[in-house]
Amino acid sequence: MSLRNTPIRRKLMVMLLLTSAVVMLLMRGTFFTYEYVTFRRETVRQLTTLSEIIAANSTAALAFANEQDARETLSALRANHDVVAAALYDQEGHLFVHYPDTLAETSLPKAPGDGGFNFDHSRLTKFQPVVQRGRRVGMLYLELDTGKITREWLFGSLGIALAVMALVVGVAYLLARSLQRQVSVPILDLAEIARAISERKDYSVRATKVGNDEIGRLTEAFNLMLGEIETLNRDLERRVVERTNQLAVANADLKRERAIFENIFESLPGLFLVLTPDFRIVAASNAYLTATMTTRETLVGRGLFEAFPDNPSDGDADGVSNLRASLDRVLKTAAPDTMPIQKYDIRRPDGVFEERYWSPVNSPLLGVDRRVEYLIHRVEDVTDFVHQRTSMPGDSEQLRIKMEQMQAEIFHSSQRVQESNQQLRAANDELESFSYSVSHDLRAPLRHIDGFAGLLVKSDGSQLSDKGRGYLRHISDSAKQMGVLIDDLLVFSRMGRSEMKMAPVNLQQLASEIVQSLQRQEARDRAIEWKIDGLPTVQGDFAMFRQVFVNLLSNAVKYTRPKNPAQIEVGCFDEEKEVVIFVRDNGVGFEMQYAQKLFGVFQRLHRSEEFEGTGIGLANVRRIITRHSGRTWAESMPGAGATFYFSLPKNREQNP
Amino acid sequence: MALLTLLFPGSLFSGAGRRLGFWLATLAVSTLLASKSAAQTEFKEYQLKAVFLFNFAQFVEWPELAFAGEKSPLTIGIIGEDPFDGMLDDVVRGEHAGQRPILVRRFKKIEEMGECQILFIGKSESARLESILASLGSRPLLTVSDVDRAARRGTMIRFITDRKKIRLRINLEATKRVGLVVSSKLLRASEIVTTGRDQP
Repeated sequence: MSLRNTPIRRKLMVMLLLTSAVVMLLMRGTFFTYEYVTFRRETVRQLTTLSEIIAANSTAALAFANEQDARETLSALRANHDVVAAALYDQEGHLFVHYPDTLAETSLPKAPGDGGFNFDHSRLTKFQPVVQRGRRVGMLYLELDTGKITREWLFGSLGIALAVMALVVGVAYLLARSLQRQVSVPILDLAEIARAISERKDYSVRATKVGNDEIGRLTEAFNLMLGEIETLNRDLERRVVERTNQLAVANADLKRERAIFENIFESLPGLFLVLTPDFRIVAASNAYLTATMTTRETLVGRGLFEAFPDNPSDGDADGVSNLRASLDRVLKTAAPDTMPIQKYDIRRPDGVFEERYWSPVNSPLLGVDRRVEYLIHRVEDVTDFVHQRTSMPGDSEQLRIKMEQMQAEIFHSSQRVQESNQQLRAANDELESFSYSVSHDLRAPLRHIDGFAGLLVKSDGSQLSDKGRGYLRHISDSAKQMGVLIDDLLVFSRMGRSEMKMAPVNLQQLASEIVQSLQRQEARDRAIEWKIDGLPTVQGDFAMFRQVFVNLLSNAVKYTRPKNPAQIEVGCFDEEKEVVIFVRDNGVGFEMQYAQKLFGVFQRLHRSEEFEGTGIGLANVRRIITRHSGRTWAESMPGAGATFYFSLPKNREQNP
Repeated sequence: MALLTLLFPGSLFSGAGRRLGFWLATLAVSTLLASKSAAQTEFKEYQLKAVFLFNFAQFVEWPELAFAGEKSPLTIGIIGEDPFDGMLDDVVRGEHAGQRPILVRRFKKIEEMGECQILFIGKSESARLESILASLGSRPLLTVSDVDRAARRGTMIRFITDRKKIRLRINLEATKRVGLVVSSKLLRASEIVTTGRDQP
């Protein structure tokens, strides 16, 4: 168990005990060292005293070589157990006597050394000169077993030390036990209160302050904190209650509003179904439920086509696929999609399918990110109109029945129109391919006629009369003109069929180029004042626009031929939804009553002797502009010039 | 040794080798000493007696009037035949008793004796002992003799040769009578007798 996790009570105890033990040890250590030094010094002094006494008593014995006396003197050492050996040496340094008698002489120094002490291993030895009246008569040798003394002293000293230590630690323990309570009890009390508070969540409890020390201050701070928590808690609880009440009111309001809106939606007189983008039914109006003989409970949450499958007994049933296609379109375009009247049979609760006709409209419900969030499927049950039921009596009923009959009629006729439209489109396609191939096939015999007429003039021209040659020239000219006519027809036909390559077209540049090319050819010898100004860049097919300007400008050049100078202006102006481009000339003009005829095929207002042409140019212009979703028209007065207009929707326009 | 050190540098062997050398040296020295000490243990009676005579100067105190002055010499006199054969002269040569130099003088008759502090009465004077002592009167002079029963007969200190050892016998009465103070240490090393009562 690490000290960190020990209870504070034990921690304090351990601290106090450890401190006192360490202090005791240090003190004892110091004291012990001091004692040891003192002890050694004392031992040395003892030995000195002893050796001096013995030496003093040995003088006569040595001086007069009295062994017995010397022995007796040395034997006095018996009183001191620490002296393990002693010896007297005579003046010549010979061993005289030794103590104890049992000691082997060999264990003693052979000859006396100098005076002084010698600590050797556990022995303290000393040579003491034996002096009588300042004259040395011999040497005394003493040997003390200091090991024994030290051991004895050590054991004694250690014993005392241990006893004192035990006593001190014991006292310290008792003291620590009572002293640590001063510190630990308030802290433990505080901890206990904190625990109780966190368990019971009762912040009204307060800790009792014991003193003015740090723990007292801690207690104060703790109490202060508790007060704060209590206040905050109360405030929080009050606010939670307030907020809960507000939420409850808001919730009730929301519920009420929701109920109202639900009620409104469900009570709508129309047949409505709300779907998710994966065609799951979210809501249905009451009218819808009634019309489909279902209940809200069985419908909401189910897939649309799971709830309304095709009638299995009707092999031609295409309600599901049509509806799915329409809904997919709405998802893709995010725009409403109106479906033609559908036969979509409904399964009655008894499982039998009932024949029904519907007129559905599917609309998207967009979310904030402009994506389709829901689909609204609105239908009208038109079964009765389709069946033309006439079972109901009464005047207004008559009217209603009439109306229903008419609507049913409209349904039938719209179906008929659709059919005939399709037939027309097919016929048109056929006609176009027919006319293309016919025109193409016509060109070959015409070239032959022209070619052979030319050959005839070359080879046999001299044999023919002038009149004959004139005929041949007529034949040749007519064939050529018919070739031009066929070419124009081919162009016209191509205009209707060819695919449009949409790209930005700079009309100003295009018109200028065409004017330049006209100046080099048809208008070579003419005086024409051109004015081309502010034409926009538009989105469209370049080749087609080129055709439009070629036709309009060459017309203008052509019909201003009698004027000198001719004035031709190309310009444009903005209308609200379209941009209008015009070509104005001061040419021969036309009667306004023929204005509508101008743009038809082969419609000509002038004789071709007067102004050459095929009568297809303007028809082509109208066709091209129509394909660009624009309009064409013209204004004129005979002799006062003519203005030809065409317009283009503005979203096609593109600023340079 | 060098080889060992080479082979085992700083190893146990270098220490062991050194220790071996030490023991060999010790053996040689102790053999030498043993032969010398054997020669010295030979008993030299008068050599010892000479030393003892000299040593008495250290353990006996003479009254002031025994000397002419403070630094006047301490004289050891020998009456009659000199048995020391110059050994006493060797012993005292250059020695002092306190500040006093020590002299050795010899004389045939007591009348010839001048100032003297220690008088040795040899065996040649055995018959004349009592008369010599009587003629000395109460002079502060330490009488020493190795004549039989000398102490009983009034000599202050007698040398007794006993089994190659020399013991002392002191007549305390005699010393006290002339005012000599004999150190208790000397007394402890001696046998104390009184005049007249004889003991073997």
